[in-house]
Amino acid sequence: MTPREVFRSPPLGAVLTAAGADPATLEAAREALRAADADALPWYVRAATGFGAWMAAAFLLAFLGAAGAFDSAGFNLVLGIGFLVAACPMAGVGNEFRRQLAVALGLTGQTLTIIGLFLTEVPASALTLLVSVQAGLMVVAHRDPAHRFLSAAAVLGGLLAFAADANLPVFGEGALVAAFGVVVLLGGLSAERTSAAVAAMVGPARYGLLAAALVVLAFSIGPELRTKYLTPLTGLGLTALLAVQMLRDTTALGASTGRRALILPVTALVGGLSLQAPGVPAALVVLGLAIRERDAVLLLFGVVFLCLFLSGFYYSLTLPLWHKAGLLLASGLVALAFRAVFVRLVGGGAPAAAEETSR
Amino acid sequence: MTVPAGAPDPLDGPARAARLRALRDVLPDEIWRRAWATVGAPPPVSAWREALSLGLALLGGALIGAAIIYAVAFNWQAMGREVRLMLPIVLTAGLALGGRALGFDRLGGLVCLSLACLTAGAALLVHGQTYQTGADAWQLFASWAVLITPWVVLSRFAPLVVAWILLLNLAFGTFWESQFIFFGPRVREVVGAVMIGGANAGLLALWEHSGERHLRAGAGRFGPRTLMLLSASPLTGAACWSVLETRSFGVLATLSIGALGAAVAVAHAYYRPGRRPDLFALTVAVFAVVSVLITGGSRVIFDVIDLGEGGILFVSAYVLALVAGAASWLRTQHREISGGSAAPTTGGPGGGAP
Repeated sequence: MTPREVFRSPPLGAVLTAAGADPATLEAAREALRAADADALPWYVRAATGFGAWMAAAFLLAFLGAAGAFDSAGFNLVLGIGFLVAACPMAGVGNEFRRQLAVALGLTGQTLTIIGLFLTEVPASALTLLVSVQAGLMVVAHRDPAHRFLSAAAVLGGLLAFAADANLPVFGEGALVAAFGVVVLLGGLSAERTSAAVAAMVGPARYGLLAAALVVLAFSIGPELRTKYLTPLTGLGLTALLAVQMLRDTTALGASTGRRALILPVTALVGGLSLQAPGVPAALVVLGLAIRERDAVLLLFGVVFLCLFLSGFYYSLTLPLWHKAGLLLASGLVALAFRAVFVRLVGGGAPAAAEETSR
Repeated sequence: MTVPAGAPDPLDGPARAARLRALRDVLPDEIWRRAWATVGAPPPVSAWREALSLGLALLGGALIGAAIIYAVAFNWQAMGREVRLMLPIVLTAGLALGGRALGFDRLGGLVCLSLACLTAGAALLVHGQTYQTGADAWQLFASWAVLITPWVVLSRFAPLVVAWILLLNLAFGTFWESQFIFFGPRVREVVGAVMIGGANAGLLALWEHSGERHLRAGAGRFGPRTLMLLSASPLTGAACWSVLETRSFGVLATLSIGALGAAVAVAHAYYRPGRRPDLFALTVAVFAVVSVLITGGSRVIFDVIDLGEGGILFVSAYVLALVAGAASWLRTQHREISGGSAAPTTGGPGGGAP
């Protein structure tokens, strides 16, 4: 198997044939897929139209701002909730104008309710929690994928803002680690038992949560922000999550106890690194998910953020260049040594039972 | 249902959960369960082994490479001019020879030659810095593009060709910006954008005509789609800019909108369903038109009609209507391309698209 094949799913026709589908069933499946595929627009069309809807929302907010609507708390709350109530039934159904309008109204409505709550002089910590709750409701109620992506990101953003405002750093760090935990858990949902509606909600929400959590962690690269907002809890929590994930995957693959013991030195190494670079275990968690789910988008997330976090770690070390060069060389040799050990342990061909289990 | 000739067989598409879920009501229970068992299963041990082995090798290589860069940076001041210059030259020559030894019909050889093209630019940069040649940025980019042209031709490697075209665009852009001052700033920008957009469109036509046959790894749509963006972006930018300046630059508006209109017409004629369908090309074309219409409409609403604050609300509705119209048209095209039902539905397997 080549690395490229790892992320390439087999053709659906081959899977159905192997499952015992006869020519008539295959033809019926072909017709059903044509209808379904024709209705699912590619990502670039969704991105372009989504951008248009966001632009319309920005103009709508600008109009309301210019008209002086931002001065009244009650007006903002009533209009915002009204927009949200109107947007949810329209989202993702009907003609394109309704769909685009639903996105624009959803974004405008969320912003207006936040402004309204702000004007009522609700304490900032309560406001941030309410933002989180509202965004969570929108993940469920507003069926547009782009809107769900943004709302899921806003859920985490609200919780972190609450932690910062209430001076509860442990809560914020717990929320950050929990976000990655939720992403891992949602990936393990039984696809067979998950309804289409739940799957349609979980997909974009999961990406939104992951993107927000990784971007927040990217701010931990600089030592100033990291020492101000993060304790070793975040890095160690993410390392623990990585260890649990490795244990789950190696168990599912039927690895022997000896082979599973490899998890210990890896966890110790990553745990030590996470004290200075808490993003590294997070990126490794994402890479593990990418392989498990054969998901190229997760692979992209994982590779980009691993490069970012590792570069930031080496860059921020207060060592002379010469020492950094030596440390980089040693790290590279350690990575190659790990590879050699790994290939020796697993490369000789996995036991048939393990291959069978994985199938 | 009428399926257009050349429409892809949906069963050749990947076996993903969302696509399989769309077949819930079509497949008998037993087949459905067996198919789920395959689609939902984690990859086999061999897949993990390949992925982790490659990942650790790349990580180790990258860290050692970074160590070399840090070591060179540490000793940079202590190195003589000749050594500084010779480093990238020797690296370039080594990579080119390595590529030749591996063979340009293999991926390893092509990657080596591509890296040699990259380090050739570094050699030119170091030369400029070491000897303080006073060369402009465009001269660096242009000489870099010229220097690597034989290797690009020799390799016929599609990703390298795309990178070379980007370099040519960069060279032209910096040259036009810094050297071509006699047209005046606005005229120069519009004329330059139309020229580079047209040149990229010509390269696109060439790629579509013979790229697949003559280029290595040229069968995918990455190259043509990059060229589509490189053609449409400057033409759209020029048209929007001209629309904003129509009062004093009517000729420019005619030129840029005419060029964009011609490009969109050709794109529609070539990439429409039934010819050589490509929804990406149609998306780029329709959103180029939408961008110009938004710019022009906004100008009319604010400048000509002068609706004041109410104009912002009109622009919001206008943008929404244009985008919805574009999305609706693209949905129809997509249905025709994929041979699906033309009846409106409430959401795809992805849960409904915006």
